[in-house]
Amino acid sequence: MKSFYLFFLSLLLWANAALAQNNVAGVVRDNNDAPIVGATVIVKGTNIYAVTDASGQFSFASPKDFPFSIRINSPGFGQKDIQVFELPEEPLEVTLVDDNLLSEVVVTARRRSETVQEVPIPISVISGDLVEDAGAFNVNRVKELVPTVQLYSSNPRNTTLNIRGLGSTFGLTNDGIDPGVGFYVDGVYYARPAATTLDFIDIEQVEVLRGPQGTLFGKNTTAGAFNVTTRAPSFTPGVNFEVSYGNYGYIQAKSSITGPLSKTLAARVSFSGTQRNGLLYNVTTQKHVNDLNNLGFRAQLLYAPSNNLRITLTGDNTRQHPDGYAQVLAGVVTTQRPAYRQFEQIIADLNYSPASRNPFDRWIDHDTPWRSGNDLGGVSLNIDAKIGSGTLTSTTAWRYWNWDPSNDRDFTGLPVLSLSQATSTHEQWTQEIRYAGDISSRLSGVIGVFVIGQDLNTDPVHIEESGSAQWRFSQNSTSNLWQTPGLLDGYGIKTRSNLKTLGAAVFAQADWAITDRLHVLPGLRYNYDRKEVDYDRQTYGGLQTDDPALIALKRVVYTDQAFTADVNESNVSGQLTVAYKPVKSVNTFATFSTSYKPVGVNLGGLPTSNGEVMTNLAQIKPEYVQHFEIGVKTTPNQRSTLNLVLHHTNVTDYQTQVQTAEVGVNRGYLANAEEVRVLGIELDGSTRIGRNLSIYGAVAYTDGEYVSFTNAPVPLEETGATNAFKDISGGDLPGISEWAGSLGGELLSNPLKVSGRDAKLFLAIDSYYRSSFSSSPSPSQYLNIEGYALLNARVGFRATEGVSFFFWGRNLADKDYFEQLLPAAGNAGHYAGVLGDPRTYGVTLRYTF
Amino acid sequence: MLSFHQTITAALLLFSFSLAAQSPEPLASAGKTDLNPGARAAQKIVIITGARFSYKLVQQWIDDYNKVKPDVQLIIESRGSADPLKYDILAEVYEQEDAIRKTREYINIGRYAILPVATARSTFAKTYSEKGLDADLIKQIFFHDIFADKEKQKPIKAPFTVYTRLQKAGVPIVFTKYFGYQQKDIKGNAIAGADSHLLKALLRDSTGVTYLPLPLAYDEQTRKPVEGLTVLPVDLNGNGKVSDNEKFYDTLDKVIEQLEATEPGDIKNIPVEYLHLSVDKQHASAEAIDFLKWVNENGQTYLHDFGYLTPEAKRFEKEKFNEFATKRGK
Repeated sequence: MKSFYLFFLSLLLWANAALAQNNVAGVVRDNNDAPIVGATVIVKGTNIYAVTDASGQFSFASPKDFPFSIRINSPGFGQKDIQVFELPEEPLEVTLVDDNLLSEVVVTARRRSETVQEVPIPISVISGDLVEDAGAFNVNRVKELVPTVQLYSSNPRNTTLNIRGLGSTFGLTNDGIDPGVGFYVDGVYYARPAATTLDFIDIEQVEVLRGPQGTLFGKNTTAGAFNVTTRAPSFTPGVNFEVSYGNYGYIQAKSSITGPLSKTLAARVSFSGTQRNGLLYNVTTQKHVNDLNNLGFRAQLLYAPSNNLRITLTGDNTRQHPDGYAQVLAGVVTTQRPAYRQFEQIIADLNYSPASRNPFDRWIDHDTPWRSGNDLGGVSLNIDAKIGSGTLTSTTAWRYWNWDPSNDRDFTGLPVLSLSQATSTHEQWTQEIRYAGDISSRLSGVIGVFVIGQDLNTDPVHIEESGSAQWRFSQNSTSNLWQTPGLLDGYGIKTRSNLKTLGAAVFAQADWAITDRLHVLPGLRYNYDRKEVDYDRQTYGGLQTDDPALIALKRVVYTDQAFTADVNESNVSGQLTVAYKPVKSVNTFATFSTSYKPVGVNLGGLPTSNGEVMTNLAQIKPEYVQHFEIGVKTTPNQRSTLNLVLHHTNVTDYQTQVQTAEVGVNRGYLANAEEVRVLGIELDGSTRIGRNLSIYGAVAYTDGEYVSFTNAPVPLEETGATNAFKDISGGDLPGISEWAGSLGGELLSNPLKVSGRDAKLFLAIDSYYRSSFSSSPSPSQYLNIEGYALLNARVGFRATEGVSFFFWGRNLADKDYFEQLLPAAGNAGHYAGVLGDPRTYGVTLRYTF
Repeated sequence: MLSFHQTITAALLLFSFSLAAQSPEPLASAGKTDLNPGARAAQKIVIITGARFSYKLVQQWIDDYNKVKPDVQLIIESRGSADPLKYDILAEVYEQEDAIRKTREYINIGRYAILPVATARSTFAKTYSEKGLDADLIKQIFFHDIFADKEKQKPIKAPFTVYTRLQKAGVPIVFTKYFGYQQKDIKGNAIAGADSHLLKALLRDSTGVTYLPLPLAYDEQTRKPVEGLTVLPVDLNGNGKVSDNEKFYDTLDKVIEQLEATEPGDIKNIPVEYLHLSVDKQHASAEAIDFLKWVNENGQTYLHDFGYLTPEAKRFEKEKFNEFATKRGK
């Protein structure tokens, strides 16, 4: 009995003690109401603490004195402090805000800072961090993350940057037209397409705006805009240094230093250098070509005397001097020319055999050295002044481009085209003044004026020169005169041209909030463009003869050409967008816009007809764009976005670069297609699953066709047909894959200590797919590129401060693919290919503090 | 010398005393009763619970009611259960779920307003008692919002720390819903306690900002804002500006007068909600119904004294409750 009492007493005392402790209980959850396991709950100033269990619940004995404070922590979440004033009768329900919520992506597309989901414009945003981690250090690599972007580059000058298949001429370019995709860096318009091949330097963010944006940007953008923002000078000191090593001798070094110079003055200096051995091997010279050899430098000075004024002076210089942009022999087609004019017969007669018939051997035997000296730079002054409820911005810029190429445009080891060097210098100056802000609580907008002047000159001349094998490729009859010794040896053309342009625009877009949910955004743009051309092409060299028959043969290859033009045009275009938000997380919009690309002038030579130069093609008509799109941007929860856009664009008098069999216009010439149409559907989204996994993806269906192009040059395989022109209406536009998509994701560990600093392990994978597409302005049976998929990945650890380290690999499946196919000059039947990079891999070390 | 049995008995007594001593201090004017509804009715006990800031007014009604019905014991008890049947009368300050509403009979006896307030000594209070707050600024100050247009947000130079209630409760629910958010969207330091504790926490912080119901923001005796507190003027007419005629927060009476003079639909940026008392349609005791019937007839007398606004005529529905009481034999 006694023992029972003892037991009972013990039980009572234990229960007394237990019950005497008034417990504070609660549950800790995340934003999605999922319990957080392992969160620590500490009573500040005491040694009382608890850890949440599998249900997120916690409990601890309450201190006697109220109020007391508790602090709740969990990795990946913001900490929460709670003051407890009384013993809660019900469990505390604590919500921790996830540090890893999908980042609020802020864009400046509408010339003010907004979250991307709020803007009624289809925008793809790539952060500078992703650019750096993914090794997407230029636009060509960024396109793998944004499937609506196409970039084709057979060398920096001949670079096409398109959005939804529209923007610039496919294949080789022509200096005489304006790009339809505006390329802006820190608000400065870069006029030359060559700029899009540069390495990014210290990028903060890349915004890709799809569709015409003429009422928001100074220079007209008929197809979309790249709005690149670099990291600004900061009054908080910071240093970032990164070095990467990879196969093929890849070395890339980047650095960025920023900090204050005084209370009102800050600076940032950034550097990027990339080097890689050539990926093609020239069996004749026994050298690798197509290397990377890029150096870039940027310096910025920020003067911020108050919160309302920021003045930034920027200077940059980039130098690319690769032995590059060689293309490999990709195939041979049989044309409709006689047998003796077929490529196989020609090379047999010349006892020549290509280095390889398999382009992916990556072997060439070209006898003319490849060179792509591409120097760009400039100075800009940007002033942001907060005035009233908006910001007045002035951007003044001067930029230059020096282009020093050497190409082997016959793509063989034969001396057909011995020289092809379109050395050029270009200068541009721009001034944009705009005001963006609120006019009233219901009306906001942007209004601006923009002026651009350009001066493009040959430096001093463009040279195309034939070699000793030219006669056989140009031979268009069985006349023995073609075999006249030295007839075409050293025979070439020297072109002096000067293009001066002046463009001016006034643009405005308003955002009228009829209600909090319904916005109407009208926009208007006035354009004035003037282009003055002085073009003079003179033949030289070859056999000096008075024999009219021989002279006629020489004229088959090259002719003298000279023309001048002075054209000016003005145009008014506009847009109307209606945006409606049925609920906060859904933003719907519909846009109708018109746009305009000014008159073009042919600066690559003109074709001939019956021996006469077709001077009527010296200038081509402006193109007019009508664009309609509807879209919905949704934010299903704070971890996800899902956006859908349907678009339809009609272009009248579409400016295109067409190819011809004439050697004298081996880079093609500009022409107008009567009408083209592009339509498509785009879906993109991103989500974060738990705290450790994020996934992003985009898929685009795009259908582009010539609605009417009745007088297009025939494709390569029809060269030699009765008619050199054909109706290609209904044919596919080049460079557009019906399907393109990207899918990527990143798996992050919880924070851990690496060398005493917080870091996270990560594994990131991104993939890109595009279906087959035409690589010929006039649809061809042969110049089509098969669809391909690429897989990139990286793994390592990343620290916000200190050392980050990761391994990376690109094109991990080592997929052989073409980026572009293009016929060799003269249309003998062979064509070349721009090859995508093989598998590359390496390691990156980054140090930040 | 105590025997073993005596020792055990003493220990049991000690245990019982210590339990009592360790019990949480009563949260309301009376301790909890464990009586079921039937037992309460037999003893003429009516248990009332609800929003704590309403207890002063409710207690005043009880005191007056007991003058005419001294045999009924009306007890205000802190809410310990979410089950409405545990209580005879609920005094709530927010719109309840449909499922609950259908089962109860209500009196919308008065209205209360929720106002932004700041610690009087803060720079924030000095700045914004002059400038006032419009809707955008209120949202910017109080809420996490990933959809907010960052460019449109105004720079706030004065330091401030938002305080809010942690637990779901009437005032924060009404405040957040009015501005289109949920309670968990409110930024800042959380308080586990009642609205009155929010006030206490605020006054301890020289940068504190919070939202309070009018009855708590003002001292009912001096009719001025609680000492140490500044009530911040808001854009009452929603025109995007805070003009001088919208700064009327010197005295409680002036605020009540101004808000009552404004059509409810025209009051912008000040959430106004009803204080309603209710009983269960099926299970309400005769005493509870009788008390509410008395409040229905006499309860508006003290509204202004305690910082409440009179109800709109169309929402008061005095006759409706009387009909219900008649049906239930009262």
